[in-house]
Amino acid sequence: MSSPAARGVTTPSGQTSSFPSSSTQPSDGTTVNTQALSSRAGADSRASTRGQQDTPIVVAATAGGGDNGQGDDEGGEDQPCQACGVFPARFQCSACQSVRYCSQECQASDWKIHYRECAEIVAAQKEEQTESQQDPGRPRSGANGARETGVPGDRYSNDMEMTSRAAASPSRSGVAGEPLGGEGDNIRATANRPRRRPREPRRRPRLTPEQRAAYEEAERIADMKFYMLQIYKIIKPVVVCICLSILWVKISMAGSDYRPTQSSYTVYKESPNSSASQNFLGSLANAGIIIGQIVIVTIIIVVLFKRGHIKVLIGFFMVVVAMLLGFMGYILILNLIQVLRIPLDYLTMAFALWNFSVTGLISVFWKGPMWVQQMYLTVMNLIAVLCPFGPLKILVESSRNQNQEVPALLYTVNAVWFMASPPDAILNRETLNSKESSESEDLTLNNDASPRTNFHGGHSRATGRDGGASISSSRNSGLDASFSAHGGMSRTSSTMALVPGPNGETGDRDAIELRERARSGDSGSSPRGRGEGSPLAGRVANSASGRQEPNRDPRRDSRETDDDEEEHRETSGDDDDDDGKVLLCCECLLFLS
Amino acid sequence: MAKPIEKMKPEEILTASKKLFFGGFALLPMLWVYNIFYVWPVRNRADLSPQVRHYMLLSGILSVVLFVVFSAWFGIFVNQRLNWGTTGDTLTVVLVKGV
Repeated sequence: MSSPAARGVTTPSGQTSSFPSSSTQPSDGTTVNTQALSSRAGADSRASTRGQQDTPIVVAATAGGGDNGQGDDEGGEDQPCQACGVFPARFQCSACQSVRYCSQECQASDWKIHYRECAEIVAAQKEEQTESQQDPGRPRSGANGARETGVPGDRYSNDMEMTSRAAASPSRSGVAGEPLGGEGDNIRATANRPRRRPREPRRRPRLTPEQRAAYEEAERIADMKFYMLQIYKIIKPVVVCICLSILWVKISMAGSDYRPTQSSYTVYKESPNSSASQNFLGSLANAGIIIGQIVIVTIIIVVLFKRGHIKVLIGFFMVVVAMLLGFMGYILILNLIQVLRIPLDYLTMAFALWNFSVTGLISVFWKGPMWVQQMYLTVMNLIAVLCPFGPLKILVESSRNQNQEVPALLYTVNAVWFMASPPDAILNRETLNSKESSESEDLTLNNDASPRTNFHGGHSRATGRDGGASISSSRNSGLDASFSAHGGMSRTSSTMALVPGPNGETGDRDAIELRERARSGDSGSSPRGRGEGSPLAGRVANSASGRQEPNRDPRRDSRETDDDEEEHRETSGDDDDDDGKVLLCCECLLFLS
Repeated sequence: MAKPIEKMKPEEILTASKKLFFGGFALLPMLWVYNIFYVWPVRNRADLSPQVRHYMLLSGILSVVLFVVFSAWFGIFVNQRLNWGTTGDTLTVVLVKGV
């Protein structure tokens, strides 16, 4: 209310010009005095954010020196004082005009709290002003004018102005939208803080509904494309592996002496006379053994990791990889050369195997071109799939013996999506062109990606990938062996099993029918907060990806999953050290089982 | 693991290449090939030490030499295996039936 008393108060309030200059109430504003004051308010409001530090000067001097004053003004009728709650509060902050005070003292005391929101409100108001195409420079110019000329008849406030200006000048950067950092309490520290350039108002330009719809649509399309790309990049090595598996199995079954055989430690071996229930229970026992092995090894790995014995883990995995590449390769090569009738001598074979293993070891555990590493992981995957004593073999053998198809052959796609903080990091892979196996096996790839795929954003390249083997923890610095959840990474875990198909086309029992069904697994955290910045979202999401491991276990329909998962894990084109480790972890799980 | 070469500093590239080169002397020509593949994308980088190119070149030459040697051996073995009698048989890994 523009009572004379109130107006009169405004004059001495000029001395508290440390606060944003007094702004008149909206209804009032015609007097010269108030106008000048409000223009000063404009200046001061800008200065206010700057000048949090000026408040103590102002308060102490009571002279209102300093720019960051909140100008007192005629207060609101029915609002309580912001600081003490007294009715009625007759002054208001002239900068933002949204809080009321009963006296200057209250205003001063509340300033250290209010200065933050004051700046934001003023910025918002200013933005609205800009949008409504008012002259944005008016406050500024008004403030300048006020600064230059001072308020007529208010010498004291002039002095205050100059004081405040002097105080604020070193730091004057100008706009009322300055970000408010620092502690409200530690005003002097804030005062001495080097000024930053004021930030833009936070709100985005307002879009019309049509614009917004179009914008969102475009964004959706871009997202879709991105995800499709990721899927292709993951599926491609998987398909390659599948084809290679088919090829290898066909070849190796043709030989006589070195065929992959059934695992030696299954308790139950089927015989033709056993009844169905015996078969069932025996199979359960076999399954239990395998799962138990996997679980035990997983637990060991988790414990080792949690206790920090990373080197042990790494060493262990190196041994596993070496064994895989070396001995398993040897065994499989024996089979191959018998079938293909290659006369190979020990010298050459040893030489070749030695080279192969060491190069693989180096590419996985040390530096090297990414594609080499991926190649090796594919090979290891293959070996793990076809290793003579593995659960997959049991599955295949038993299903062959029973002349039954294995239900629910799964190609599970656990997709955690990459969003690299340098956006091209993950996208450097070629797109997949799906190839059909030359043997023209049935390849039913049903990508059930939509309902259950959870996309996790964000992967920062330097941070590496999510480690798989049932460990979820945040990545520790320098611990590359950490199987920690990390920024998002795309990964597919594919479960595939080779199943002898019904005596179909060729009538040959070796015909293998590979069925796959893509299943997208959950990783827990659903939306990739892409809007908020991919690395962030990725990180959040990836912390959930560690939970994939426990998710995977109950979901395993086909026993062997890990190797595929691992392989895909590593195929995310990431250069990080975690890849090999993850892979190894899984490979070793499978291998040891 | 398998850090991309583009991200590495020149010193790191030099040490990696050097290690791969000297590792290849353990009857591992694959490592030389590996070295070439690894350094190939950055071979023209300006800040790279000239030694890296040296290592690459030497790796290439040596790997070719070694591969030639072993191919020669293998060719000889395959062709002369039957003429060597028992030695040939002991050397063979898998005695293919009927051949």
